[in-house]
Amino acid sequence: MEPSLTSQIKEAQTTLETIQEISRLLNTGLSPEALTVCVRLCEVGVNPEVLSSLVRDFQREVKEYQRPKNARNTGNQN
Amino acid sequence: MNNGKIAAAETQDNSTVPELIVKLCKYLAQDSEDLVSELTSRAFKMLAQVSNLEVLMPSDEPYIVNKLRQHLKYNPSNLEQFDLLYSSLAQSDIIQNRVALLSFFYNLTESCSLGPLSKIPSQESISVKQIFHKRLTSSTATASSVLRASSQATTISWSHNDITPSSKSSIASHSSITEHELLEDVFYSLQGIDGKFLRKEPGGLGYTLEPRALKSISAVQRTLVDRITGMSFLHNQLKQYCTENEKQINGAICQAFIATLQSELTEYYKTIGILRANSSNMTLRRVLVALQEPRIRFEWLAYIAEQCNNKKGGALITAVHGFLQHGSKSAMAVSEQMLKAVCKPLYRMLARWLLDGEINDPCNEFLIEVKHGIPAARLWDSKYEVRKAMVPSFISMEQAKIILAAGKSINFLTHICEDTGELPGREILHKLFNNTSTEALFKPEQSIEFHSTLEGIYKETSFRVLDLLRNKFKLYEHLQSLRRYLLLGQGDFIRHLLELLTPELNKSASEIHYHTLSAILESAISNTNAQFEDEDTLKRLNISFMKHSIGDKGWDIFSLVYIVDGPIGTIFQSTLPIYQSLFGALWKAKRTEYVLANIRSQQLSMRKEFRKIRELKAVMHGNHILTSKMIHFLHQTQYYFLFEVLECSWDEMLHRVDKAECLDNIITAHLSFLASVKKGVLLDESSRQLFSFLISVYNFVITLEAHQQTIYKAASQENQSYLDYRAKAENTMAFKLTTKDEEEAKIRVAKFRQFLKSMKLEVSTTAQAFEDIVTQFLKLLASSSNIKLQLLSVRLNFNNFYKLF
Repeated sequence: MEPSLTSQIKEAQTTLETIQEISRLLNTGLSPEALTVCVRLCEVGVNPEVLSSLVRDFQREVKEYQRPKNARNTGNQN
Repeated sequence: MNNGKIAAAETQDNSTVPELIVKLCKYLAQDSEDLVSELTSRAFKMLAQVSNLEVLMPSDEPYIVNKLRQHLKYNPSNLEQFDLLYSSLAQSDIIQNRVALLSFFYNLTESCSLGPLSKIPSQESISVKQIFHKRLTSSTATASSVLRASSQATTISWSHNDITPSSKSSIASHSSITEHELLEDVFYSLQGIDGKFLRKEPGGLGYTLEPRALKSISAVQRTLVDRITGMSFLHNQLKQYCTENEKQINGAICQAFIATLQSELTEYYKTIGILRANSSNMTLRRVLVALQEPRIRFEWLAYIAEQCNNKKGGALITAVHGFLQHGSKSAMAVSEQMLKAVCKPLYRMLARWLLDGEINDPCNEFLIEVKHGIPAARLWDSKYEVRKAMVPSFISMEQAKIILAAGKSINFLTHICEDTGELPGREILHKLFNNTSTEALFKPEQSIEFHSTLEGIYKETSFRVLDLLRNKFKLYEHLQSLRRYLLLGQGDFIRHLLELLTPELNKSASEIHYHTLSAILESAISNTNAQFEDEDTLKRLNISFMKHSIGDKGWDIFSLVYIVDGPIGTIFQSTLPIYQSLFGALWKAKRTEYVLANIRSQQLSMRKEFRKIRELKAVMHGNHILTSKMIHFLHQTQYYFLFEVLECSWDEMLHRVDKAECLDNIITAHLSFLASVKKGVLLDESSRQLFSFLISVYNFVITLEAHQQTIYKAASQENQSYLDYRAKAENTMAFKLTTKDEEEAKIRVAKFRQFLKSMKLEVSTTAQAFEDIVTQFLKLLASSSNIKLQLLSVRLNFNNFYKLF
């Protein structure tokens, strides 16, 4: 690998870490993988507002989907 | 950590947007397979509804960062950390669309804090519509370069970089108003439209912020908005002025004024349009600065418009012209532009008037007024007038009069003289109007040239008018004829006419017939030098009767007239009544003179005829003396009238007519001639009493004639009787006369003597009365301020014959 590319990757890595840290501070609840995809989508030019609403929407739905399952599980344990 | 690996993989990965979406869904669903497929399908459904193409500007970055910091402000350590992270992010150039990323974070956190359940349905419905923008397929590099270019550019960029209020408001929180929202409202208000926060004052023209909005903006913003909305006020004021005055029909000059205002408004709308197009770069301050220049213009325009309110035509131009001398440079510029526009209609009217003598002025705004329904003969003196209120301030009254006379001359030439020849100086005038613009009217250095050219052309036109009047229409000949016949200049003719008319005019007025008199006039002409007169002149000479009442003699109603028509009528028509009254006065004097001459000749013949009647001598002596006195009086007054008054005035008039430069000069010369003659023959207002004395004197002459006539009749009867008596005595031899005859003769002689006695008394009474009147007349003359009349008094009172004092 060329040194320039290596340094570039390194820089990208630190940047990504920074972004993850911001995400954590802001309590977004996104996993690093999901966040990376979101960053890339933003870079490509997807409307951030739409993207954010989409993400938020899905997070909520996943939560709702998992809740009854968990409740069932606890019930079974009881 | 596997983050490094992921990042490395992601940077090299060139997966497309759909692939990325699938990946995202997978991560979000946390590997539960059924959820992944469902979410993915829904995500694509949402993305498929792509409609709005929105782009965030890099300039929004500080704004969003600020919002994020606000979100974190309750935890100072987190805030510190965020600042640190952000600065490192800002230094790196890996993330090219930093704004989008930050916006993504912001939107995510914002809705989370609101609580997911309450807000989500509505948020979803808005967001779904606005998903991906058009740069889905284009490379990020070009997109960001475009953005950077547009952010650096201060010039206009129309196209897709616009931010609509809806997208901005969705970013904004409800508690505070962003500058962009405010800007949007400001732009609305600048065009006279109500905005979200800026509303029109009820019943006013200005704008006020809603109380709700007032709280959520800073004091600086409020001041800026207040200053900018000052412009909105001016805009509304001008617009209102335009719409109000547009409806009224105030003439072309007013229309020009409104049109100029409207074009200024259009220019302003253009400026606003450019500012709005650039609104992404705009701040309230920039708007304020950008509007500085139009605002000054508008201020002056509004001020000028206020001054011009309810004015039209020349008055409006005068109002605008007042600003041309203003010390303020911008006021001068604005008013000059306005003046140019409003002078255009005036200039056109002026050109039309000066070239063709036509006026098309339905709204009475031109400085020349044309009166309709005026007969052609009065064209010169009363058809056209200077409309004083409409004379612009840069045209002096003398210049206005020249303009009036120039156009009037054209009308006179074409309509009255029916002169079809080319008018002089037309080409110069055409050239003048083609080469100069409206500025020639009000710019001092140009207007001098304009007016001097105008004056030159006016002189040429006037000369043409005079030339026509003198040569074609025989002005001098007409003046001569009027003097000869109406002012009794042609002595032999008048004398002859008087002789012929006397028997007719002695009749009472009702018995006089026009045809008899006109036959007499004809014969008087053919028997005197008048027959060599120009035929045209003789045709114009006629007789007329005034209205008579019971007891009037022919003398009272008879008058000679001279018919004038055509171009010369312009000069003479209005003066005919004066000629009439002058003729009356002079004719009376002439007649009295004639009567006196008859009295004198009768006296001479009576002396021979009645030599035998001794008793007659005493009576006739009185008569004789009285007649002499009268003759002296008449001769002196006639001499005064004819030579000192008429001849002198006439000579003066001829002199002035010769030197006349325009028709007006001739008219004034003629009028002043008539005025001085009128004054000279004691017909004017101040000599009324003198004239009435004069008439009494004339009446005494007529009385004396009647007396003498009576005496003559009685004397010739007596003479006849005496001769009869003597003849009888001679025929019947001496002593054959009967006593009866002698008795009769004695009674007759006694009667005759008695008659003579009474006559003598009558004549002496008349003489006494005459003397009284003359004395009063002379006293009045002597006390007159006119030196000529004083001299007349001296001449009449030769050797102090009448004891005045």
